[in-house]
Amino acid sequence: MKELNNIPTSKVQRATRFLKTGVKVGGNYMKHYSRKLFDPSLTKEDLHNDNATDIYDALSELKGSALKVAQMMSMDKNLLPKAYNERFTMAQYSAPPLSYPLVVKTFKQVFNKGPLEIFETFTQSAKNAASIGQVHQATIADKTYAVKIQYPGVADSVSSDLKIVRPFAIRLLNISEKELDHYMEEVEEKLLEETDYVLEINRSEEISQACAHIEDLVFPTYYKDLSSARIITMDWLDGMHLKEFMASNPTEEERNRVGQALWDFYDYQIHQLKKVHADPHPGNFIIQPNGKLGVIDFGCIKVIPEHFYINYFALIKKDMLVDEDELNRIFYELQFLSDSDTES
Amino acid sequence: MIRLLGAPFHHDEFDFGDAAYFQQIFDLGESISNAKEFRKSKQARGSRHGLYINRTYFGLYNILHDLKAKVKTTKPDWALVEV
Repeated sequence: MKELNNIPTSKVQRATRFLKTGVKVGGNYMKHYSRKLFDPSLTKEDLHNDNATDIYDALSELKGSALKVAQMMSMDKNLLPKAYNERFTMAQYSAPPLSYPLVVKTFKQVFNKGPLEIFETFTQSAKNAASIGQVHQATIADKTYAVKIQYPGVADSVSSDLKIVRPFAIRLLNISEKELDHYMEEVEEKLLEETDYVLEINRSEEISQACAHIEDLVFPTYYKDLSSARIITMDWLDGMHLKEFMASNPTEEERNRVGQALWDFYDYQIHQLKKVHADPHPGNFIIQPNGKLGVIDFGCIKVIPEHFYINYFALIKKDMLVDEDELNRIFYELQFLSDSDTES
Repeated sequence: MIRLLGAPFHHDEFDFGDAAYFQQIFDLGESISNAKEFRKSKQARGSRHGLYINRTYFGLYNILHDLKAKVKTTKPDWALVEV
């Protein structure tokens, strides 16, 4: 993959990226309709595919919070056409990485030392790129570490990124501006938290310890003396991501075991800790060769306020003994009713 | 939506590989995002806290679906007793 030597940091530069995408999306519609004149079999799915690709290309060059928003959208799988989703799932694994000199520069700013003065080995290129940082592999003696480095300028760009991404969110998610505003505040707050790596380490340790008793879960150890506001050093967890795991044809038993560990992890966080790893996308989990589930990246933690918890989960208490049609009707009604009722 | 997402809680064990269940969620999402009443609504709907909690459950269910895992869906103690 092509490495980026700089990220567009000014708002104007970023806005230009999006303008380009806007034009391209418009162009795709044109292309679609003119192609359709000749080939009526062309489906809407093809069109969505074209759009998703262009938007993804623009977003991945932006990194930072814009990429995060792409992730958010891809999480809401069911609210997006399939074509968008497949494309955005890629955002969860790999974005074009920063070049090595930029990594060294970040290290020198933080530790006054380059990575090779701290570690014995340090991979020149990133092993994984996350939305607001990238992960390098490093070693000291026989210990292997994962070193996550935050993209420079991310924290400063959150607010302006969100403003830029607004029109896209409205169009893609098909929601009203009012509704978007309501959510954007929450998103902004969470994104700013994610750029605070010191907070992330503290929360990672807190939740890892609280969940240590849960079967089949593995958490890396975090190294505070090798971390800072923009760098996190933790144990390297070996294993496969979900897609690779599924490609390896696991048995039903193995799949259920991983699933159960995941369920138990969330059940405990939500109902006991009332604090939850709110970023459950496949890139944040590693399935280890021994069948255990490794949890990495606690960047996004949602603290669940008590009054919200009570209202939201009151609904799981009642037994539902109605037929399918009735159930469907209630689901639909409830979306309107329950949503405004639980307005807080 | 909350009810539909709550469905797995109403069984002791839930098969997340069940494609019909996910189709139901998908259809519901489509009908909601196309509903005019919703688009026009001036009032923002839903607590802001719901955004990340819903997202968490969507993410969790999606991963479990991709895993095609059968899971023992435990409930918190308070939900086991009728109040």
